[in-house]
Amino acid sequence: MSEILAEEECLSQSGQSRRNLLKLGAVGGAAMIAAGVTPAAKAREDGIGLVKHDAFPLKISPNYQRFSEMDTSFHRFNKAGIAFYKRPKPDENKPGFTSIDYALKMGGRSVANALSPYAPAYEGYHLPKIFKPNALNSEFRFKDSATAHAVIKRAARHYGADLVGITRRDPRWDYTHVREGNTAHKFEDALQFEPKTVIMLGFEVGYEGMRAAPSPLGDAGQVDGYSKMSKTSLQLASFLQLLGFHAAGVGNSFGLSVPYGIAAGLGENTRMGLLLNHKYGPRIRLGKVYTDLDLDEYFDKPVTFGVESFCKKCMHCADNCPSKAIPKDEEPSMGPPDDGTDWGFSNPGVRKWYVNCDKCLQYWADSNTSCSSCITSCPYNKPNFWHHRLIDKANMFLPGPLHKLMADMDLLHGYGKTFNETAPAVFWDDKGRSYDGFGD
Amino acid sequence: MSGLGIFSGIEVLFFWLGVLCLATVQGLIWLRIKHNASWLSLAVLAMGCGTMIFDIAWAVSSVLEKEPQSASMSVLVIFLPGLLIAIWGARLAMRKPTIAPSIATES
Repeated sequence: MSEILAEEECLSQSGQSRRNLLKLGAVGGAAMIAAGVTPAAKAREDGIGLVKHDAFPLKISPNYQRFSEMDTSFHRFNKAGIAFYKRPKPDENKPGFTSIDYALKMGGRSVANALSPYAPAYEGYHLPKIFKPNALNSEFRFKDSATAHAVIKRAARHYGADLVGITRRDPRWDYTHVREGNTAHKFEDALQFEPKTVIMLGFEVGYEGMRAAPSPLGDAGQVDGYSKMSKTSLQLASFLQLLGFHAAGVGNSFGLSVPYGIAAGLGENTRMGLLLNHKYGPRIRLGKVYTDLDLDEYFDKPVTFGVESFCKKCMHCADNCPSKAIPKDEEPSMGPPDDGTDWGFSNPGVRKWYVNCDKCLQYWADSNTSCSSCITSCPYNKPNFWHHRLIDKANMFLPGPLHKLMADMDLLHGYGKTFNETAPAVFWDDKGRSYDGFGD
Repeated sequence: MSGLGIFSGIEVLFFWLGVLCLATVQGLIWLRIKHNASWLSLAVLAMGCGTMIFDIAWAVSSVLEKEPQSASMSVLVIFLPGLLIAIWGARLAMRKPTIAPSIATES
């Protein structure tokens, strides 16, 4: 579910003089040398700056309660009769908002729409098809948990997932009720079996398209991700059925994808509330497959690699959020702020930054896009090039105060621009691309 | 930058970086043998050349990923300091050894 229209100018420009730039570079060099001798830089058991956790890494209140999908902003808007997606009105003179851009986006959604009754990527439209055991060989058993992990992950990758993590089902992250239109179904009734394991699937969203956010072109990659979620989770659920297990492929529905993604070791939570993967940054879509396959051991552990520390200093997503939905508090909190807002769409009890989803979704409605400015402006949102991997590694062990410098340098290097009207031209530029198999 | 359609831009880049690194090492050896450059000057020069080579890698990669501002910014904050360090190292390396007055008188 997604959409926006951009009317504001880029918010991320900073007017540094050349002298300031040189100063910044000199300070950066000195600080990096200093960082090399600080205690924070020493190697840890799981590698420099990378920590694996046996337990869920975010603090959870003992009073935490499960949430209902009927209370999400999407359904609140439905109930209020606010359409956050309207029929597009292309502007052929506005980059990223032309008929071509809208068509690219809407065409990308077609698979998700077609497969929605079987493996719904978008929540609230259909319940998934429940695959009941139909084993090709009734005697089949996985040799051990490690083999099950390896086989399922290989199959998921084969079906198109870029990331796969397997974790034990945790009822805390499951909705109490799931939504089918305006009808609420109890989670247990809708799933029809007792899930033991959740297979988390991650799908990369293209970088060049995301540079054009917020615009329909920026949405196109996200929407395509939903189609991939439907296709892969449906295939994987069918795969598990043929090995003798119950399975159901879902996208956004049934459970909270971010905490499940954290539990499955796919990334860390962020200020903007999205999962941040080490390889793709926040530029991913997440799907889930629930199954009653029960494993003795789960090998994917939650990981942290300095993202929370970076988010405390960076603020790019909050600065660039057109609806001011992302908080600017330096520290995460256990609940949303008492600011007079009806925070009924938010579930307190987890230490994180609480995003005002109603404000966010209102901007979707106003702009007829799904915005994604936060993803575009995030310094972790980079294409797969060696120098970005190098900086990401450096951020894993650099001390907190340097993260602000790294975030500033990111802007000065030209990354993280939102409302970037040159980005669509780069996306559509045919120069240097080869479609016939000749060339790179 | 396609390497005759066989290699990607990054592959071609890293090939030439290898050539540059080899040329740098050969230059340092030449300075040591022919000009009897001090180890300190060679270390400074190596640091400067290494920084410049690093920036070439960064800048070309930025162009390949279509972020030219990153390339120009890197020239400012990486290449120029590297150039200054390299010039300093080269001046140290090429400096003629001073002869103490007492020794000069004796000879």
